[in-house]
Amino acid sequence: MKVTYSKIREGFIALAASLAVTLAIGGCPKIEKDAYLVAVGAKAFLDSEYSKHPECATNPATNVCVLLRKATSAKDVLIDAAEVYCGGPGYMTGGPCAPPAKTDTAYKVAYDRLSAALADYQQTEKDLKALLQKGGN
Amino acid sequence: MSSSGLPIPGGDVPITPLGLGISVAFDLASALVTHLKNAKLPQSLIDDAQKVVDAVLAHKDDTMTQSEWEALRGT
Repeated sequence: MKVTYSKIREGFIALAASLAVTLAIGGCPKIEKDAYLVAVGAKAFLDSEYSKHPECATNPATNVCVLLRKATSAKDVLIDAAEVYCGGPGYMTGGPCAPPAKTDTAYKVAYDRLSAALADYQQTEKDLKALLQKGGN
Repeated sequence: MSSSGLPIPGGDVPITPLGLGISVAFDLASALVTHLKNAKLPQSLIDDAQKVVDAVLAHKDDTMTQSEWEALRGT
């Protein structure tokens, strides 16, 4: 399918509208929400790529398989960091995300760790997508 | 149910933080995805937009429990 400039522009407008709807529904995003959305997208993206590269099931050292495993690990580290950040009272028994109070020193530590894990996953995904776009293996 | 007939996930919260009725917001989101599909944009773009809308609609109450995070582990 040929993608014209007007289609790309329309796509950006639609995504901006999507973000506006998101904010209207959810209010200002919190870091755990950002992390959750990234993790949901990551899981879908990585599962899709694994299905396109079944050879990666046997752990070969191709660039795509190495980056797929790295991205999967980065996603799981993101989940670890989110669970530490959210792990206040009631969280382990099925309650909602319960981050430390912002005045608590643990808050900054947990926030920074989650923020770093988020950035790390996003960089890994960017590297993987760049490789896939070049048709690398 | 929204006025479009689609279910509202966890939908007994009538008003969103910005004061937009949730059924209106849900209809808006559904209309947006329909518009994207009709515009014949690349499927990946439509999928991304759908994922964002679905995830936010499903978690508008900011829960995200441990089991929901755990479901995203591995491959």
